[in-house]
Amino acid sequence: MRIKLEKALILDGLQKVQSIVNQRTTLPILSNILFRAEGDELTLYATDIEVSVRTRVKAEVHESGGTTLPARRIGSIFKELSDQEIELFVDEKDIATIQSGTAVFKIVGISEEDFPSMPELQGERIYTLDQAVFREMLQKTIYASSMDETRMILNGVLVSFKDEKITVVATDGRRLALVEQELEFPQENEYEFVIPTKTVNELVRTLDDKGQIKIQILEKQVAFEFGNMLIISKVIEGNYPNFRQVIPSQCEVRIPVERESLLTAVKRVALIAKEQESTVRLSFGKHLLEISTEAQDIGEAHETIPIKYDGKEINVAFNPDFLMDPLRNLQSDEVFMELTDDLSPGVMKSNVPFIYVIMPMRIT
Amino acid sequence: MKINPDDNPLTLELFPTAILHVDADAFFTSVEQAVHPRLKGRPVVSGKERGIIACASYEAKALGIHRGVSLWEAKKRCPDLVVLPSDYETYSVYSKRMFDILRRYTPVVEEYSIDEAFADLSGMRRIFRCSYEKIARRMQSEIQQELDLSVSVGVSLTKSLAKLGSDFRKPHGITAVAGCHIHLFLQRIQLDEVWGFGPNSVNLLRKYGLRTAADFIQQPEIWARKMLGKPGVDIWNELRGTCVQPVTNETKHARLSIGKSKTFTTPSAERDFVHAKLLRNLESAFIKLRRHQLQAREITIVLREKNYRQDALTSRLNRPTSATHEAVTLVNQLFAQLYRPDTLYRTTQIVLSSLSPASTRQYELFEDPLCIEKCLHASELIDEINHRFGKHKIGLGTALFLDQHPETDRDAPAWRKQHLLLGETARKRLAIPRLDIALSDGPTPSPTDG
Repeated sequence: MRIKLEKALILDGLQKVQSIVNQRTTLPILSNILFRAEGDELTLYATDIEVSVRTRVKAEVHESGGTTLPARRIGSIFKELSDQEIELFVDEKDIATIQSGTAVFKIVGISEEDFPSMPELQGERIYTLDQAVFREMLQKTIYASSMDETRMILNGVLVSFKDEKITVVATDGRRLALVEQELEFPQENEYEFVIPTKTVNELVRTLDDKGQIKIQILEKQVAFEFGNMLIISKVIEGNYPNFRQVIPSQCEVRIPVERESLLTAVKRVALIAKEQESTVRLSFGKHLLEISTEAQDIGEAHETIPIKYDGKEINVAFNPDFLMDPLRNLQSDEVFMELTDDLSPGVMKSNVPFIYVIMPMRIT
Repeated sequence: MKINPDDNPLTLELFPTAILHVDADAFFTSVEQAVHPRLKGRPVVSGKERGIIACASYEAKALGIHRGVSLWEAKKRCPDLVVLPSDYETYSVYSKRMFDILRRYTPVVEEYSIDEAFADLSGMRRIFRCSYEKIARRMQSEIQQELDLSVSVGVSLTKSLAKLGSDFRKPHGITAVAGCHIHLFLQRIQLDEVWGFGPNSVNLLRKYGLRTAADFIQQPEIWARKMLGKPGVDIWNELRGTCVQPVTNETKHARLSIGKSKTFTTPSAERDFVHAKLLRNLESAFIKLRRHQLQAREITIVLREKNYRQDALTSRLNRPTSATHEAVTLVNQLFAQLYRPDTLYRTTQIVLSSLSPASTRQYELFEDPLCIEKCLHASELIDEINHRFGKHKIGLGTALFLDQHPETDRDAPAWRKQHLLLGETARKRLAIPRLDIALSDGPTPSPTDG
C-alpha cells in the first residue's frame, strides 16, 4: 500500500474512530486501527467488538492495500507532523513508513487478516431521519441511563419505532427521560432495541447538524450510516421494563418554573448535601418555591424563587442530580413540574415533546 | 542510660509527646482466672464452642498450646487442660473497666480492641507530679489490684513505638522508650515485630539487607517511600518518633460493613439446617443494621467447611434496604449457588456492605413506594416485639430447622450464663464481673467439673 494524505483530513478521520479503541484489551490487535486504501479513498476502521466505527477520507492512492496500525501512536505522530502532506507506505511485512517533510517514521503494524471483519449490512428494517434530530433525542435522554452493571438492560437507551413515532427512552430505575418525534415508516417495520451507552456517546460526538442518518437493524446489531461514517453496535438483549406504565397519566398540580433559575438554585443548595445521601426539598407555596437541604454535621441551605402558582402547598424531596440533569439538557425558558404528593413520581415537561419522570426521596 | 554522642540519637529530647499502649496479657483466659481464682496456675484455654483455641493462658503457652491450635490436639498434649467456652459478655465487662482505669489518667483514650488501648499522656506529668513511666506503673498496678488482670505497658513518643514497648517485656512488663533512646531500642526490634509490616514487606526489606527496625529508619525517607509507598513512610516517621497517627478518643467512624457469623457446635451437611443458620445470621445482621439506622446495598454470604475451606459470594440489591425480607430472596439465590451437597459445613456468615444512612430513601420507578414502606414497617415492628419478648421470638420460618441438630458437649453455655443472679434472665444480665468464689463452706461447682 502506498498513499499520499492530507494532514487535516486524516486527523479528522482518525479522531472519529479513535475514541472507541480500547487500549487495555486482551486482544492486542484491537488497539490498532485498520487502514485500507482503494480507489481514491482510505477507509479507517476500529472496533472493540461491541461497537465498530468506520469512516473514509480522501487520499491519493498509488498502490492499494491494507494493514492495521497502533491507534494511539499513529494518531500522535500524524498530529505532530509539521508538513501538510503525508506519505504512507506499507510493505508486505506490515511495516509502515510515514514520511512528511524531512521526518521519517517506521511503525510495526499487524496484518489486516487478523482484524475482525466488518459485518455485512443486510438489514430488512431501515429508518431514515435527520441527524440533528436524532442527536438531540439522544442528548436529552442518555444521562438518565443506568451505570449499574447488575441491570444491563438499563445501561443504554431504548430506541422504539412504533405508532408512527420514534421514541427514545433512558432510565436507571429512579428517573426516566423520554423524547418522542413523529416519523414515517412502514407499519411492518415496528421495532425497538436498546443501544449501549458507549455507542450513544459515539453517536452524539460524531452526528452532524445537517444531513440524514440511516438506521438499519441487523441480527443482534444495529447500523448507523451518516455522512462518511458507519457505526455498527451490538444491541443490549433483554426485556426493557414497561416504561409507559410509570409515566403518571394525571397529576394534581402543574406548575411552570423558570428553567435557568431552578437549575442554579438547586446547584447552590446542593453544595450542602452529603455526597452519599444527597437530597433537596422543594416546597411549592403561594407564588414561591423554596429549595432547601439540611445535612447533619454539615449545615443547611435555603433559597426561594418566584413561581406562578397559588394552589395547595406541596413538599417533595428529590436527588439534586436527578433534578439538574434534564434542566441542563433542555433549551426552553420554562419547564412544567407536575406533582401529586411526596410519595408519587414527579414529572418535568417542556414545550418540546419531552417527559422526565423522577421518583421522590423519603427523608426521615 | 547515658547518651553517647557517637550513637547518633534521633533526638536529644526525652518525651516531647507521651503515648501509652496497654495490652492485656492473655486477656480471655486471664479474665477467666480472675473470675475463677482456682484456675490460677493451671493451663486454661478458651474457645470450646468453636473447637479451636481462641486464647491460651501463659501456663498453657508454656506447654506449647497456642491460639489457633485445635482442641483435640491440645488435649492430647495436655490431658489436664481446662477448656472453657468463650464468655464475651464477661470479657467486655472487664475490658470496659480496664479502659475506665486508663481514663483516670487522661481523657484521650482510644479503645483499639477488646484488650488493647492507646492513651495520650502528653502533659499529664504536671497533674500527677511524676514521670510518664510512673504513671504507667500506677495504671498497671491499679488494673492488677482492682481487676486481678495482668497487663503490659509501653510508653513512647508515638503509637508505633508504644506498641512495640508493650510487647517488649511480656507478661506484666513496662517499657518506656524516651526520644534519645529510640535508636538503641529499635536495634533490638526485628522487622516482623513492627506494627504494619506483614510478611511481604519484611521479605522485601530483607532483600536489601535490613534486619532490624533500626536498619529501616536509617534509610532515607525517599527510600521508604519508593519501597513501601505512603504507608511505609508513615511507619518510618512513627518509628523515628514523629507522630503520624494521633490517639483519637472519638467513637468509631462510619461503619463500612456489618457481619454476623456463627460456627455450629458440630459440623453439619444438612442443607436445611445450614440454610437456616445462614438466614439466622441474616436476621441478626439486619437487626444490627436497623439499630444503627443504616441500610445495606451489598450482601456477601460465606460458607466454611469442616476442613476450613471456605467459599463466598457477593451480590448487590437493586437499591439499599434495611428490611430483612427484601434480602431473603437474594441470599437464597446465593446459597443455592454456593451450597454443595454431602459437604460438612462448620460456619455460615453474612456480611452487609455498601452501607448508607437509612434516613434518606430513594424510591424506585418500577416499585410501589407503599410496598417498600410496608416492608420496612414490618421489620421495625418485629424488632419491637422481639425487644419485648426476646431476640428471634418472631423470625423467618426457616428457624424451625435450627432445632433439628443434636446437642454436644460444646453447646455448654458459659459459666456466667449458668449462674444467674436474682432477677437476671437468659437475655439480660447485670454488667458487673461475677466472681466464682465461695464465701461460706459450701463450694460452688467448678467449671472444670462439667
